[in-house]
Amino acid sequence: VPTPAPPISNRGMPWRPTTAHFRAVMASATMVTGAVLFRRPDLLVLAVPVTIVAFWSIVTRPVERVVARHALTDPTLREGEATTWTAHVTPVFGMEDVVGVVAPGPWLQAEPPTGVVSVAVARDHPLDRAVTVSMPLRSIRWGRRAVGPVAVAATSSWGAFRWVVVDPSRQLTTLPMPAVFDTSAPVMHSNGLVGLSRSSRAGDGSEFASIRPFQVGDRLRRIHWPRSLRAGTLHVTSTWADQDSHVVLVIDATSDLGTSEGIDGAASSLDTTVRAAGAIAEHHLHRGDRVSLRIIGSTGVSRVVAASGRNQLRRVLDTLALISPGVGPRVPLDMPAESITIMLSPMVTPMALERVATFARHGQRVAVIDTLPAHLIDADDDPTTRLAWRIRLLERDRELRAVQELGVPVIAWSGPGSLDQFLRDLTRRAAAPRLVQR
Amino acid sequence: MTIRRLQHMIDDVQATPTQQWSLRAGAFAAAVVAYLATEIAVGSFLTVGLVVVMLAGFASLLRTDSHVGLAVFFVVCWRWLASVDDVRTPWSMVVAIALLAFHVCTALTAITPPGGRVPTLTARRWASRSVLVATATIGAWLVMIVLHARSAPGNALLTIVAIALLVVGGLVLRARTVVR
Repeated sequence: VPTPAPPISNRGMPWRPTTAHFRAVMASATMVTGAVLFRRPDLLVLAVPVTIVAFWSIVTRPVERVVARHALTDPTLREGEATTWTAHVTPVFGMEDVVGVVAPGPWLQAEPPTGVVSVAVARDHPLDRAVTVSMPLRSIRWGRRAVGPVAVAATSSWGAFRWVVVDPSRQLTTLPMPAVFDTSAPVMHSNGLVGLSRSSRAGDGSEFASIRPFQVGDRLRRIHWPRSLRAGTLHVTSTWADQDSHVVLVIDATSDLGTSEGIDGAASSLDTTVRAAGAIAEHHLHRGDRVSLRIIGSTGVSRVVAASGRNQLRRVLDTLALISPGVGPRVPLDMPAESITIMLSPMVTPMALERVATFARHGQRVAVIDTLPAHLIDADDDPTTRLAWRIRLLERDRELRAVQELGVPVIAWSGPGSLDQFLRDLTRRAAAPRLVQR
Repeated sequence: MTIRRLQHMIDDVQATPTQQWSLRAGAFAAAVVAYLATEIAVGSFLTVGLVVVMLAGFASLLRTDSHVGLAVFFVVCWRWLASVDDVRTPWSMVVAIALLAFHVCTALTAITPPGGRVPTLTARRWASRSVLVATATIGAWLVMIVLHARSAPGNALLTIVAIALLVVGGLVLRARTVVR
């Protein structure tokens, strides 16, 4: 059951007269005074409408304090999904209209786009039922950001009195929408004993291995009765042990290159990085593997320890949503020996290259997913900047070749099958002796 | 006006929906009609007054939640008081209803920020009330005609009572309007 939103306060500010009411009062007072002083009944006729409006407004003026509450129906979304901002206002006598204003901020699409919604309070609206204004909001990019500031206003008849409250904002977390990813390549063997991948040794698992004679310690439920009856001695069904792999995702968040247009448009380097990381994590966690996360350069949370299961996926996506490019604390990259390390980076900073080279020299099984957007050069109008980028990208090509010479594959992210070749190579190499620098 | 305020104003104009523009155009037209009706009642034409009314109407069209609309009332009333001699002229009804339309359209646009739409129920409610007030205005004009036909002589006591009522009414208005 969601917790009800706390009431928002306008520091005890009551209903205030508006400029419209001031205009009606001033105009009627001036004209009526002129009519009396100059003995002009025709001026009194001119004053009649605004005088009626002014008195009508005063007679129906609301005096009771209003209580408003506002909240997002779902404060956590995936990219491209929508939530609803809702404000509940307690009706009071004389209240005729309620207006809600939300400054949606970047990467949020409001309906209507102006972020202003208004409702009329029906004359027979019960005083014990709140007046509700709501606005759908669609988040088009991952991240945690504020929705607001938010203003809720109520007006009386003829727009004469207004009650306004402004609340700073509400936090909305948008989890990255993992890109489509799958791999048909087998995952190399590792030491784990939980997961979908078959181990090379027999053990407690679900995949059939053989039927063998009973040994001390075998579980009774493993006894294969038909074979035991035929053979005259007890036989049991043996299985292959299930195993998992440990996949370490290293995210380079030192820079966000290219233009981001949200889930519906062009992706920046960090967009591709985050969505690809989410996809790889989702794939491996569904297989029962363990996944951990290291983030280089983010000012927020920088690591998620290895675990498996559905909750781990949520932890990974939550952490990815908190990435804020910048210079973060130095993250110790102590990789387990049998893990598979996948670094997602646009590979334009020396730090990223150094890290990859270090992994390779220490014998880690590492691959780099290149997330540099293709539209990077064309996006800039300045010819000098374009030339500078061309030169930098030529240098980068040379650096990537050097990385590949160290035995680290550099893979362009292309969704399903991106890691197939890398994982097959790992399986082949697992049988071969390795030279490791300690 | 700073660049920032100008940009803010341009943003507001761009965000304003058609319904709001219709109301603002209605307010502007009502201000012009009020002044032109006054000029017809006068029988002559003062261009300066029309220009001032149009400028004030245009300014209140851009900034509905401001006091600039009062200028329309003051110019029209000043022109009426200074130049109209025929107290019984029916043009007073036209001017009064046009001023009501100006006030109602401006107030209605001000109940929501520039990007908002006035709910249909509110628009219908205000329209029916305005018709009621306009009818009362016609009634007031008829009463004025009847009383004027009697051509009662001036009465100092009645004038003092009227001024006293005005003062009391003003104090009541202030007491119920101004928030302490």
